[in-house]
Amino acid sequence: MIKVRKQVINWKWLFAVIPVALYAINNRLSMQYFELRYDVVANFWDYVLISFSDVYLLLFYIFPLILFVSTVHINRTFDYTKLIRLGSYKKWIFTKLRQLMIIDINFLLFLIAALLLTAINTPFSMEWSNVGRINTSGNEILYYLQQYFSKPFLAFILQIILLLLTIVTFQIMFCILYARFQNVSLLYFINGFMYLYGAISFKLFPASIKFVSVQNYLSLFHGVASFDSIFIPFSVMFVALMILVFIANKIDQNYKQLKNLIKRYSPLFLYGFLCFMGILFNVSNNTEGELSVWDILIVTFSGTTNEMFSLVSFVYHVVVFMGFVYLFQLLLHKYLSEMSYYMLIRYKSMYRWFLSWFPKIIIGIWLLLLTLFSVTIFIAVLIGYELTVPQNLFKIIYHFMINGFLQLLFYVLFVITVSLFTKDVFKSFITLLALTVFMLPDFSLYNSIPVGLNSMAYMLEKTSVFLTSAKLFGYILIETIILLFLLNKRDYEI
Amino acid sequence: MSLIELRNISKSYKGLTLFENTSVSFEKEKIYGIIGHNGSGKSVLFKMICGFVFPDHGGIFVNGEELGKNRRFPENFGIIIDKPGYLGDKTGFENLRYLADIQNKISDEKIKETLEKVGLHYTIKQKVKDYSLGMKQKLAIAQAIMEDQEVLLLDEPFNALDVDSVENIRGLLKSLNNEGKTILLTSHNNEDIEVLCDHVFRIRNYKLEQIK
Amino acid sequence: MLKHLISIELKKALNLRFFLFSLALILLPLITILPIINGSYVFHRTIDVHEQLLSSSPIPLLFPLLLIPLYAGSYANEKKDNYLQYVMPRTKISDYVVAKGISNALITFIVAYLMIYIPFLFIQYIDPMINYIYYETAFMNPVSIGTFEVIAQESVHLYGVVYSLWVAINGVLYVTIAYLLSICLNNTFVALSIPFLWWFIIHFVTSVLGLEKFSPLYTVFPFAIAAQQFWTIFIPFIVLILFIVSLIFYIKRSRKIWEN
Repeated sequence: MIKVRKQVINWKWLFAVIPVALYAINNRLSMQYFELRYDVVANFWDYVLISFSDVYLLLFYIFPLILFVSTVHINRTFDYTKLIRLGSYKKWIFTKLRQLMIIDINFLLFLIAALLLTAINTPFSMEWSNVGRINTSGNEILYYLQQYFSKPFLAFILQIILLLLTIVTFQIMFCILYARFQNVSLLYFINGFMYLYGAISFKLFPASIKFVSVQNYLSLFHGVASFDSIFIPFSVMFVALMILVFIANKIDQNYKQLKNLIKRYSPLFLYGFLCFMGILFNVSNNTEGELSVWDILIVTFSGTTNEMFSLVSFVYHVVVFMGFVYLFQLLLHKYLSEMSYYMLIRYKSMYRWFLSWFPKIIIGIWLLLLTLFSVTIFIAVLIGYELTVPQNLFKIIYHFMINGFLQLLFYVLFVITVSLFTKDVFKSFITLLALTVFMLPDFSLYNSIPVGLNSMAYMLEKTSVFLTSAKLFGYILIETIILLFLLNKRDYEI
Repeated sequence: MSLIELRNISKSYKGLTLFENTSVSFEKEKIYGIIGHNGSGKSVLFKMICGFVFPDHGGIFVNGEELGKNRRFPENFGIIIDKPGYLGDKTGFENLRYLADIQNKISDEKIKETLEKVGLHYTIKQKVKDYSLGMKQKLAIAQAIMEDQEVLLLDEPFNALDVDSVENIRGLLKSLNNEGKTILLTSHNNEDIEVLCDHVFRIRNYKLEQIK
Repeated sequence: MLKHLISIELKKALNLRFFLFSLALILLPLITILPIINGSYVFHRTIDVHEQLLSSSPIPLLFPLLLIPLYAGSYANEKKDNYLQYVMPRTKISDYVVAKGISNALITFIVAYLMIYIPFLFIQYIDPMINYIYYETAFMNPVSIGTFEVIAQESVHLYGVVYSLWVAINGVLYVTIAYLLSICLNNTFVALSIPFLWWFIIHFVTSVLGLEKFSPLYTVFPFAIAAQQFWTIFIPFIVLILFIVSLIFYIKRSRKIWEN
């Protein structure tokens, strides 16, 4: 450890921060013109923060530099004799990470020292100066920071934490990749790629793809302003870090097993990711106006009605609910292709075979609805929507849970019936999706076709949620009868 | 020159050793029977002769030409391997017609005649997916012989056939042999082998032993 | 030989069910949707009607799903029913598979082309004789029909042909992907459903990320989106082509066709 410390605490960082200091001095000089023009006086923190939050500086100098140094360090200190003594890749990764963090802190200390030093001999105050109040091009950093943070010192601390968090996340990713592939070219490639990608995401990406824009996780003001939340940039990076820590913990396990696991659950992951994306999209798109979390629930799962149609909410409705049915169809396809007379004879009847797996599907539907419900509400609360209780709260929850359940049950039974009848799950896929036509505005036929009836947009109309339940219930009854008939009467051939 | 010659064949298939350095040749206009316990490699042997799978070592020569050099599949072979194959939503006649169209050597009449020979009526309008297993087997035999193929490789051709049909197909194979066809067949039924075959091989210890 | 095999495949594909299904695809929008939109939207030009007909129909939403049942699953079926083993001694199986792919593409191309072009013909040439569609003549204020408007400015007929071709070519790409996947994957259901999932999910993802102009749906049916620069429609198109090329490469390298 002593040897490591000797190696990493290195005065060469002093040279690395010289460009930063020069840049900061340049900022300080140009501030004079700004003060004169707008008749304001900048204070100590203004000088520190404009340089520390500067996207160009972070994206094109500090971040690439530290990634490059990390890469060199990882590659130079990798040694099989050490690895064998550490006993596992996991330990190796966390040992490396500790060393890298010493480098990070070292560098940050020099960096902060340079920033503070270039700002001395300016008016000192722990409050915001009036420079931040001016909303003009070129002053975005201070303008946004003073809007979101009560004290400049707070912004300064959080900027350090965000930068460190992002750097550590990337470093652990590098360690994992190196442990897995032992190929330094890969890391250098990522270095180059990140440089280019950072430039592209900064200059070319529209504001809507803020989640994958690097600068939002390097510069506090940029992240906070893009997400309109202090919380999100930190939490996204934190989640990424946690996932990587999890992977690092599992890295020594048999890789093939993991691959099978990923292969088996990838449809589920993709589905969950899409659902989550839709929720985030709706939650972050409705921050204007005084909406409650319940309104957000309605907006997110609005679906379509005869009067209200938007392609995005239609598509999201299909992704969430038909997506669930698709996962079920994957399962059904497996059940049907594995089915044989030998198996059926052991179940004694088709009916029992059906009952052997169907209750799991019911539980699955409830789990899905509960998860969608709680995740949406949770995120909405976190982002700061009101928790006020509306008059029709019961109806909202009833419509979401009960009608949602009935609607999904209808889809599932429909798919089972068609698949058993045609012995082809793909045909049930086509028929079910063809049914979504009745969700389009010109085709809804007075909501008589049981598709998309759990659309939350019905809450904004005069439709009775109980009537919808009755309708769905009736359809399910008919389906059940047909299905029972199919299971009992039909000469079953495989 | 032998019609089919296996030279120093070794083959393991899906982790199981089946043949080790075995050589054998089959002559024209004879009926050969291949016997062996389950999993001894009868079907793989046929697949190798057809060029569907390659041996790990050694070569397979048909009419003096090695498979996998210039040609992958031997010419003019009629085969039944594994379970019967078919286009489910077509009739028996249509099934044969589509196969015959590929080389376009025979007429509708010839197809109908073949169907009658194996004991299926060409007028049956049923789709093949609704056929019984025995009917599918007859259809499989029909496709193997309808184009007057010179060599027939028949893996368990009597599978799923009723007693009368077995008699019928045996007679059919005999008469084809009399017309000059070479036939290789496997069967788990010793009677079939004894009645039909001029020569019999048994697969034992990864080799083909001639026992008749 | 290839031509001969293609003609056999076509014969196999063209049965009564196929004709009924494609006839429904071609005529149903005209029969069911035209009466609904006629009178409830303001039309100035024939292409406005054509545009509204398509965007009111479920065709844009379900596009790949409508074309895949035509013939894309035939390889998977023949493999499942062991039919391919009889084909192998009769012809080169690689030729057979290529012939099947070409037939599938050909059939799809024709059906998809007619699905767009026949309604166009009706609206453009037949309707003026029977005057069924109601046009607003008082306030002439045509709205752009989107990315393809530039072609319509040149010649309406050219628009009809070019746009139908564009849809047909995209249809061919989607069914070809389904067909190639049915060779690569053992699970036919997954293989045949992936093109539609791609269509729908990428549309969703691009909408959420604010990149609608690259959505597969909006590049093939660019109606519900403001006119975009022409190059944008080729981005998803190129992605599909790259996907097809890599699938073909994979099939060749892994010798998928031989291993039944």
